[in-house]
Amino acid sequence: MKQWLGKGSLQRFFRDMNRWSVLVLIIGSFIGLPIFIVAYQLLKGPGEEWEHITTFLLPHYVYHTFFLIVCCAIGTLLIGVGCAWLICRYEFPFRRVLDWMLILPLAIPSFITAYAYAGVFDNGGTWTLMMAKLGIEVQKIDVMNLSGLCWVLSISLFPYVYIGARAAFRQHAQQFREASHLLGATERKFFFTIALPLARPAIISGLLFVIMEVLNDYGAAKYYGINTFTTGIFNSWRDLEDLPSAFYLSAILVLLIFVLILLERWQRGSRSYATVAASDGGSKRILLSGGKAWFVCLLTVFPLLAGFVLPVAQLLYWVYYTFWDVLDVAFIQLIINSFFIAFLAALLTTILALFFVYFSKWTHLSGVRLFARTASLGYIIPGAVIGLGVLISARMLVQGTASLFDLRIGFLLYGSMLTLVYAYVVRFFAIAHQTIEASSAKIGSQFFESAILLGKKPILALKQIDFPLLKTGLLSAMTLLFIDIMKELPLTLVLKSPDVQTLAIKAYEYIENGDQIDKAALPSLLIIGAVSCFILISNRWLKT
Amino acid sequence: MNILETHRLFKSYDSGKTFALKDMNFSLKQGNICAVVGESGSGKTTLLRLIAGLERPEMGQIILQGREVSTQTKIVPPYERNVGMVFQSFALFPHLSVVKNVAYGLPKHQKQLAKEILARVNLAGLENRYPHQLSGGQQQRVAIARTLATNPQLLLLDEPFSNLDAALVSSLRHEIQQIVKQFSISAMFITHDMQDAIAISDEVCVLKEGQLIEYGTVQALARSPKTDYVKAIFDQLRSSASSVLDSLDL
Repeated sequence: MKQWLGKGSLQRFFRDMNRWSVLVLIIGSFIGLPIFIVAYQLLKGPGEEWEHITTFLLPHYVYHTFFLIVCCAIGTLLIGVGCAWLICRYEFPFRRVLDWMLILPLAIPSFITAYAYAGVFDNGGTWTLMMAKLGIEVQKIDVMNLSGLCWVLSISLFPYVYIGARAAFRQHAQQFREASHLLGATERKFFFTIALPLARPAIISGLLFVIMEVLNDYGAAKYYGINTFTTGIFNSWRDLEDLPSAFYLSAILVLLIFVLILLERWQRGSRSYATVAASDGGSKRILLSGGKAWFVCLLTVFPLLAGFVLPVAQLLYWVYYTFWDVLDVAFIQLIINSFFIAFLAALLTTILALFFVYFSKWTHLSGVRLFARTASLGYIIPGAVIGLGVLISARMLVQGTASLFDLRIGFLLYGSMLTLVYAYVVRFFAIAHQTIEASSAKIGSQFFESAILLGKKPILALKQIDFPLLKTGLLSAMTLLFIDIMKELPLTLVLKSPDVQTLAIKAYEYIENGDQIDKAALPSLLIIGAVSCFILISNRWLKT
Repeated sequence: MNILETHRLFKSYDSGKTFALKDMNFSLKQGNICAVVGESGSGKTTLLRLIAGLERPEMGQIILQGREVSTQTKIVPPYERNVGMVFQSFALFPHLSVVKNVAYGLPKHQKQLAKEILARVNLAGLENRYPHQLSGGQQQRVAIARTLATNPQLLLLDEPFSNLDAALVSSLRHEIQQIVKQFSISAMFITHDMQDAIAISDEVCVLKEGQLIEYGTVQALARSPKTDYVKAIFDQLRSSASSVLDSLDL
């Protein structure tokens, strides 16, 4: 039968190859181009410095990167899962406020937390000054080392795990809890044998985000002088001037991420984690009182203090002294530019992802759908790698148009806002794609199908029916994109130019220029302020 | 004249490993109501979706009103087939009022015509309500009215009675039959309950594991079933002293 069907497969291919398939291929190629180019560069082999890198540098990159991954995974798990469990299971003072405030450390890019920590605990830092004023002599706490970096990254990134674990713990229906207690299970046994295994997919997906962020980090590791894969990519490219070797390092990094994702899939196997929503008025919390209540409150307040309040306080302290030195017309122009770039990139990515999701649905070719999935892998590939891919793509395009059409388009692509926005679209396309795909799946296909059976063409049905129903999903996607773009550093560093600056780049330049570190506070606080607002808005949406 | 014909229709969901529909050949006469009966997974919904153009067959031909709409080389899109479909969940647009739902498929969204159609299905006065403010039975009538507004030649109904109370089902069976005759169209509906089929259809199409095992009028199937499967269904109905069989004098 299969053989018989195979006879007409070519005819069916041309029958099913519609305009939507072509559009999916075009958008997919546009998004996937830098990724495919990075893959193509690998075929050319490593550069001249590869031997030097593998002999002297690679062992450090591997050791430091693995150390960071393992320690940050443990750190964020303990803090994220612990806080989520306490918030979901117990009633204690300030629980409601802490519930949403614990997400705020995500508003601070980790390189900003890193330099704020250094400012607090360094020689002559705020900590030693404060203690000296109180007449207490304290020893310097050295944070600018591998352990310090682990702490900074863990305390910045734990909300990824917290958000996932909190959502999963909230979904646990009261009947699971009651059933387990009726069967004689203690609170501890319920946590380890029921609650934690059920929350596992959400926790692991949060953990994967943490690991991807750790692998993507450049600013914090560079400032603390720790050599990781990402700093190595920059070193190979800038210091050793060996781009092919930078691509080889990137390939190892991407391979590592693939292995982690495959490991997670393999470990999850065919186990079912279907959850039962709490339909009985939500989970009942255990009311704590007295010392116990305040102890739990302190436990949950601590990550907030360490991950948000402390760095923000240090930045505010610096801003108090440097505000008028930093603020001028050029800086205001920079703020406008930065917000405009983030908004434009978020909007473009959302629009492209919306069309991509729907065109993929309307194509009837499974091969095209598979291609669509591959093209939207951007988010798992570190920003620096995407940046280099975009750079090479731009160079190839400029050379190609010059030799084929005698056109000079270098001014349009090199160091331009256009290239930076395109790079953001490539890097963050997967976030918008996933958010919109999930919202669309929630709506289902029947409204759309009804509309086309009532005589509407697909684009009109999308505009009139699915689009109004998708509004919240689209706004949510745009918010997530805006947050990530405002915080992004490594990719922006690769593509920055004197004409195209962002607040993150300005902050990083002040930090890199050691004697102006306190001036980085104002751009940093502006990023944190904007991102915090958007995080709170999106958290509200997620709740509703 | 036949409103619908299918020839050697095949549909698989995993590149030919398992078939949702196999070698489907049948035709439906103009003005008739046909019930598609079968267990879950027998291919009933797939058949309706293929006719509507929401799915594409691997092989075979679908002819609507003498026009080829689906072949190995050609597919007419759903919005050009002049086929209406009422979904199991009704799929009423939640952000549009009842009258806007019904007017949606009309040129220039003619509200007056939509109101007239609503009146014909006994829903006058509910025009400005939203779908969630209606009962299940009312929602179904709005879904039917919305589909009929575009003047389709063939009405497809996916399990029209499955979301309704038992008390409503018998009155709605009669209403659907009335509406189809009143609008002079043909209809196909899916059911897993032979009583629905006997109550309102002229012809019955019995599917099992993706294959058409029997097709004919209700009387013919009841009097001389060709397969043990259909015989067992009617035997069970007779043993439960079903009132629908009495109405057919079988």
